[in-house]
Amino acid sequence: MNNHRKMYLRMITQSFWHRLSRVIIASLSVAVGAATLSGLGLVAYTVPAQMSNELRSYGANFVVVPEGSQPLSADQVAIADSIVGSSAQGRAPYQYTNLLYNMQGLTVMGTMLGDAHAVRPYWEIDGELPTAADEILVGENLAETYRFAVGKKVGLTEPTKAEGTAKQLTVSGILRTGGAEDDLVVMSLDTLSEFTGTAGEFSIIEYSISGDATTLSSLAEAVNSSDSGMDAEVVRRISQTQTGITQTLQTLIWIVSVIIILLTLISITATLNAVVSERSREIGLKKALGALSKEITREFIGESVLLGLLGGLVGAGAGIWIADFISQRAFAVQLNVNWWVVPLTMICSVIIAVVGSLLPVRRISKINPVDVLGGE
Amino acid sequence: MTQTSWDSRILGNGAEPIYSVQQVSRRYGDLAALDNVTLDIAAGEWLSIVGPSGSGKSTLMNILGCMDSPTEGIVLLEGERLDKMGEPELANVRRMKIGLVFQQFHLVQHLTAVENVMLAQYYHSIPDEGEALAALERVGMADRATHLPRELSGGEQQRVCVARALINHPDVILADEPTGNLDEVNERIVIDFFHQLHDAGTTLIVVTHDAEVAAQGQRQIILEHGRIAREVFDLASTPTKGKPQNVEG
Repeated sequence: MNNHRKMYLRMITQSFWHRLSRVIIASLSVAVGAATLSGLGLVAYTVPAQMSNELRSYGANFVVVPEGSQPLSADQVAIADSIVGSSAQGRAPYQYTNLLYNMQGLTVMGTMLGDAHAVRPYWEIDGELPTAADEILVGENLAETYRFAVGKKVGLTEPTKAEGTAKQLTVSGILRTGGAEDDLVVMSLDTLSEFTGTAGEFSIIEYSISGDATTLSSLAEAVNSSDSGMDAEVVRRISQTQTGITQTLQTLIWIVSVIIILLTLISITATLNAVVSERSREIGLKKALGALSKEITREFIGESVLLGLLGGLVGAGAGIWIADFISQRAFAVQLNVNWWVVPLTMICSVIIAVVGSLLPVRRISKINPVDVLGGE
Repeated sequence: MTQTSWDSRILGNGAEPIYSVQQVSRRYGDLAALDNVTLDIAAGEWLSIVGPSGSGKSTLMNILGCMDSPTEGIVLLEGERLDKMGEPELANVRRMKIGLVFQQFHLVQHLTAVENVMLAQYYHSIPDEGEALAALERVGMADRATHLPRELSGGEQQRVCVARALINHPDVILADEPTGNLDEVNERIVIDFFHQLHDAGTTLIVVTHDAEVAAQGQRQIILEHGRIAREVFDLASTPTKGKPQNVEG
C-alpha cells in the first residue's frame, strides 16, 4: 500500500474514532436499518420455505386419478412416480371399495398405511396404526355410529360375490381427521385385496410435492401429456395458499424495507449534515492547504463506508436475532440462518450510508476557507 | 531610502517580483475592504503588513493566499494571473507554492502533530512521516509528534503549524498574526524560525498588529481603510532585526 493510501486510511479511521458519539448515533441508525432489513429478509426468504413444510401437513397437493373408469395399475403408478421424481416428499396410492357390516354398506379405503400417514400427517389416531393384516382403522363418525372401539372385532363382507369373503378384523385405532376419512374404514392394501381379490389396482395416488404452484402445474402437465391413461391435478387449495402466503409476506416485507431504507437515509443525511457543519473549519483548513472539494468528499465518503460496515455488522447480528424471534413467535417455525446474510447486510449498509452522505457532502464545495478560518 | 532605490535593490534591474498587485480592490457591496491597492513583493523579501482592525490586512492576505479573489485589479504570482484562476487552479497554487500560518493555529483536532504536518504533504504530493518528523524537529517539536493538538500548548500548536507550512518547501509563507496568541518565549521561537526561513530565501509575508514583529521585516506596508497609507523600508533588518530607516506616505 502506498503512502498516500496509508495516509488516507489513517485520516478516515482517526476521524472515525475521534467522533465516537456521532459515530455511534450514525452507526445506530445504520444498524437499526440493517437489523430490520436483514431480519425481515431472513423472515421473507426462510419462513416461506419452512411454511411450505408446515402446509404440507394439511395434506397432499398433487393427485393422480385414472383417466377413464379403469383403476390405475402398478405400471401406471411407476410412470407417475418417475415423472414426479425426487420432488415428492411423500406418496400414497389408495383403493376404494364398499364392504358390508351387518348388512350395512361401509366405504373402505385400502392404502399403504405408513405412506398414507406421511402424506396425511394431520391424521390423529386414538390407538395404533394397524401393524397386522387383520387390523383396521375406523373413522371417528363411523365408530360413533356403530359403537366401534379399539380392540373390538368387526365382521366385514364382500357384497358383490355370491360367496363373498367375510373376515373378522380388529379395530387398532380410531381415526380423527375432521374430514372424509372420519366416515371410512381404513386398512392395508393387502387386507383389502383379500376381500376384492384384486391386487395392484388403485383409485387414486396422492403426492406431497415440494414446489410452488408453477412447479406443480408443470408436473401435472407432464403426467397428462404422458398418454398413460392418467389424469393429474394440482390440489389448488394447498398450493395456492402456500404461494399466496409467500407472495403476501414478501410484498409486505419489500414495502416495509423500502420505508426502512428511506428512514435510514433521512437519519444518516441529517447526522452527516450536522457533521459537515461541525467540521466546516477542518474542511476550510484542508482547502487552505490546497485540498480540492472532491478530495475532501472522498474522505467523508470513506468515513461513511466505515460507518456502513460497522452499522451493518451490528445490524446483521441484531437482524438474525429479530428474525429468529419473529419466526418463533409469529410463525412458530425454527429459523434456518443463512450466513450470507451478514456480508450482504454489510454491503447494503455501506451502500445506504454512502447514498445518505451524498447530499451532505455536496455542501463541502460551498465551504469557503476565508469564511470559516476567520481573519480580522 | 526612496521607493525606486528599494525596488532596484530588492527586485534587481529588470527582475520580476514574485507578487505583483495592480490596482486591486475587494468590495463587499458598498464596503471596500481593499481599495485600489498596488504592490510588488520581491522573491525572498520579508514583508510585514500592518494596520488597525478592519484596514484590509487579512483581505489582502487572503487574496495573496489564493483564498479570495479581487473584485477589481490584477494579481500576479510568479507572472501568473491569480484573479483569472478558478477554484481548482487556485487550490493548486495554494498546495504547490504557499505555506499558511494562522493566528488561531487551525490544526485538525483528530490528527496528531506529525499527521497534521503530513496532511500538507498528502495534498501536495506524497506523505512521508520521516520528513514530517524532521520538520517537527526543526521547530523543536519532535518529542511531541504523536500528541493531539488538545494536548499541546498554544505555542506548541503554532510551531506545528509552522512545520506544516514549511514541509512542502513553499516559495511563499503567508502568516496571519502568527504570534497573536503566543507568549514571549514562543513568539521568539517562531520569529527566529521565520528568520531562518528568510535567510534560506523563502518569501515571507506577515500580517501583524505587533510593531516588534512587523519590524522584523525588510519592509512594512501600513494599511488604513483598505489603502496603503505608507510603507517603511528597512534593508538593514535582514537577517537580523533592525529599526525602520525611512517612511513614505
